[in-house]
This record gives sequence, C-alpha cells and structure tokens, in this order.
Amino acid sequence: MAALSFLDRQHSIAPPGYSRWLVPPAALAVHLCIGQVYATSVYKTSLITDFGASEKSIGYIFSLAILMLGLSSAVFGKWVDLGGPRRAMFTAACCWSAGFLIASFGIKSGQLWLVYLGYGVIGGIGLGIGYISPVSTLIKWFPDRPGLATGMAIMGFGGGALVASPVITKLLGHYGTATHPPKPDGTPNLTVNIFDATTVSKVFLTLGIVYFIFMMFGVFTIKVPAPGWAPAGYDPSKAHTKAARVTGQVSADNAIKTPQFYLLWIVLLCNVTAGIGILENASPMIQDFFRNADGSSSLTTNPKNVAIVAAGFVGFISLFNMGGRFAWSTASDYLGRKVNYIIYLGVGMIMFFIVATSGHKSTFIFIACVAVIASFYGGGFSTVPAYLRDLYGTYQVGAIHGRLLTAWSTAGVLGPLIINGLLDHAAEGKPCKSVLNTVTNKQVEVCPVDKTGHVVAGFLNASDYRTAMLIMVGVLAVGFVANLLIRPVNAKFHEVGPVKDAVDSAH
Amino acid sequence: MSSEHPHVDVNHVPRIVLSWALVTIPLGYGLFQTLKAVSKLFTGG
Repeated sequence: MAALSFLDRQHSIAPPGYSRWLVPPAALAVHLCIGQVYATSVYKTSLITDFGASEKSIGYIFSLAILMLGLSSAVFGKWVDLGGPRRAMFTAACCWSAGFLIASFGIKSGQLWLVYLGYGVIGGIGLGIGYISPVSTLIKWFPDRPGLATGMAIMGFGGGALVASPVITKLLGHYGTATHPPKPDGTPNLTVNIFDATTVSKVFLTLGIVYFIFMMFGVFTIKVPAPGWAPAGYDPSKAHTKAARVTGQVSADNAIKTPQFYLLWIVLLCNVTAGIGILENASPMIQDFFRNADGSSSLTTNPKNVAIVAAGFVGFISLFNMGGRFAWSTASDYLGRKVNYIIYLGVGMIMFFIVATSGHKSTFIFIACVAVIASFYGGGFSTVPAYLRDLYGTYQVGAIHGRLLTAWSTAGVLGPLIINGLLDHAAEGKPCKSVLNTVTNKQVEVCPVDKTGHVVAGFLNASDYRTAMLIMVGVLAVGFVANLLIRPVNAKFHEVGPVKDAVDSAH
Repeated sequence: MSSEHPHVDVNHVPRIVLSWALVTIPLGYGLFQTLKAVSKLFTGG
C-alpha cells in the first residue's frame, strides 16, 4: 500500500552521519508504553468489583497478555526482522492502542470477554511485537556495546510501569470518585480504591490514545544503519571479551536446532519463574514476614500505615528491577554474558535461601535480598538479547529473541502457579478468625480465603513462604547448570559465506 | 557506505537532546513518584 510505504525498511535507512544516539529514545518510546502491562494492579480491584468477577478471572487479563507476548514475538519474529523496526513498531502501536480501545468498550458495556480480546489478545500481540521490534536494530547500531544498547530499551519496559502507575491513579481520580470496600470490622478500607466502570473505561480510552501518539515518536525516529555501517574505530576482531566475539551467523530456523537455544530457554525460564514468584507477591509478603504474635504488623508503629509502607517496598524493588535491566546488561559487555547469568542464578540462589531461612529476622536483610533478586530478574531480561548475539550473530537475532520469549510466557504461568498454589494451600490450613464488626456491633467470621478465592491478609507468616522460596532455590539451580552447559554454537549451523542480515537481505 | 538521502544531517545535538528529553521526562516523573512512595518504607509511613 503506497500510503504506508514510509514504513518500509528502505525509507528508514539512516543517512551518512546519522547519530546512533537517536536510536535508543525511539526504542524507549515503545518500551515505556508497553511496560504499562506491569501496572495493572492499580485498577485490578475496580475491575473485580465492576464485573462482579473473581480475582482469578481478572488476573487472566494480565496472564493472557503475557502469553500473547511470548507467542506473538515467536510467530512474528522473522517478520519483524525482515520488515524492519519501523513497520514493526507501527504495528505494535496499532495493536497496543486498539487493545485499550476495545477493552474500554468492554469495561463500559460490562463484557469481560471484550477485555480479554482487547487488552489480552490484541494488546498482547502489540506487547510481543513492540518488545522485540527495536532490539536487533539497537544491536546493529551498537555492535561494540550490545549489552548497553539493549539494556537501555528494556530498562524502558521496567520504567513503563513506574510511569503508568501514578498516571493511571491520577486519571482515575480525575474521571471518577473512589469508593472503599468495608473491612471485616465494618470500617472502610481506605487503602483500597474502587472506581466504577465508566471511570475505568475512560482511563483505558485515554491511555489508548496517548500511547499511540507517543509510540509514533518511536516509529518516526527509528532508523536502521546503512549496509556495512560500523561505529568509528570499531574492529570486531578486537572485541574486549571473548564472549562478545561473534563466531558465525545463524538463522532462526537453525538456531532452534541447537542445544544452546534450549539451554538458554531454560535459563530464562528459571530466572523469570523465580523472580515473578517474589515480585508479584511483594506487598503481602513483607506484611506477612513481619507480623507480631497477635497478628498485627511489626513493619510500622502505626497500623494505618502498613499498606503505605508495603507500597513503598513495592516501589523500592521496582527501582531495582528497572536499574538492574540497564546496569547488569551494561556490565555484561565487560564481564561476559555467561558470567552475568552465573551471578543472576548463583547469587540469586543464595538470596532466596537467605529469605527463606532468615528473611523474617531483619527488615534490612529481607529488603536487601529481595532488591538484589529484583535486579537479577530485570538483568536476566535485558542481557539475553546480547547473549543471543554472541551465540548466533546479528543475522536473525530479533527472530531468535522472539522465539526465546516463549520462556517468559511459560514462566508467567509457572511462577504464580508454584508460589500461589503453595500459599493458597498454606492459607486453607489456617483456622478462621472472629472479628468484631464495629458498624453492626456483631462478631463476624473471617476466613483465610474469601469467596473470590483471594487469600485474605493477616493469616500468613514467614514460615508459610519457606517451601516456595526453597523451591525457587531449586529452580535457579536448574537454570545455573543450564547456563554452565552453554558453549559456542557448532559451525555446522553457521550460514555459509558472508551474509546480509535479515533486514538487508530483504532488499 | 551509500546514502539514499541527498542531505547529510551533521548537527544532531539539538535533535538528540530533544529526543532524550521526550523519553526521560515521563521516566523522570515516574521515578520521582516512585521515590516518594519508597520514602515511606524508611520513614514508617
């Protein structure tokens, strides 16, 4: 279609003298938008109330989006590489934005299936394509510092939630008025804000429009290097670490025939499974770890501030998640990718073990260990594209990265399954409590699992998390061994003769 | 290295500054809001 020809690769080739430092902002523009997916907790309770649905049903919206992220990045990876980043980013923007608009209508009209379709499926496709769209381009612009380059982009994904959370909170307050559900004692729970469907719908509509516009900045800014371009003074044969020296170019179809792909898939699966297990439960976890014998929190002297302190903890580890994406990936340019993953997985095992056995003894120990784990979680995502480049070259690294991200989708199911399954089991074994409802002046029974399937706060303690944490030590051990087994790819999988990369070879 | 464009864009500095500002401003806002919340962790609310 001639009208969309500006999206073609040949219209996005950088002219001579183009600064490569214009490329990371284009990537960040996309990742800052799609990173919103990790800010769904802001409106989750509102959706549960508005749809009259269970927490699990609403949780499926997020799970579906992450599942589609992995599937779409795998299915469309080669298309992204062949067509160039501009077309891919444009498609991602259309899908991501359309997902919000369809979901907005679904929320307004009370049709949950439309939210699944919109945000979950279509938005999820936008997530997957958007996530991988700038990565191979960044690696080509920064062959001397691939870890730094991909770290910048994927840091944006982590930052997306930091931006979206306060923005969504402000938009909800702007469009509507919060109501507060009653606590078991009858008093309103001021830490939980519920907004009606019309309000949430308007927020989704606003986000869809704003994200589309912002992502267009990335679409029109991104450029690919001209064939044969290299940074001034760059000599691939003099790469400063052995791990950074690319030994051959491997196609995506051949990459999945190599044992290295599956070993790295296991590495990513294990790192993400362990990280997700702790990050998704950060707020209840810190409250459960520091509880007095009478059930009150030892986190703060004012019981009304517990949720605020817990929210501060969530923000704290978000900073480490985001910072780790940039810092660890940049460090991998000097340490080597394999060493980085030895750190993520090996030191990660130690951190989980400390949390399991001693985390409840000191808030400093607990917070420090979880912060380190969060940095490894982020670092694991951002370092993997450079690892793939080291193993397979730049030929079809975007497509290979897309296929590898199915590990993320799998972990998105496995991590919560393990930890929530164990916590639900622990909670079900606890006796119900009798609480005085100060409004009706009657005793009410509060049980550890409510009718929506949600584990009620105040029943679990540190020992209930021990099994889950020790299982994560084992999960990381599996990933640790898999990483150690990774060797350079057999030359039989290399493309014969000099190759143009997938983008160049399309023209 | 061939070019498909007749002009060479030699002065990228303003464009670089503007591009980075466009992405770092919202990121900075998010960071600031997060740090405000994080402070409660250390002050007990």
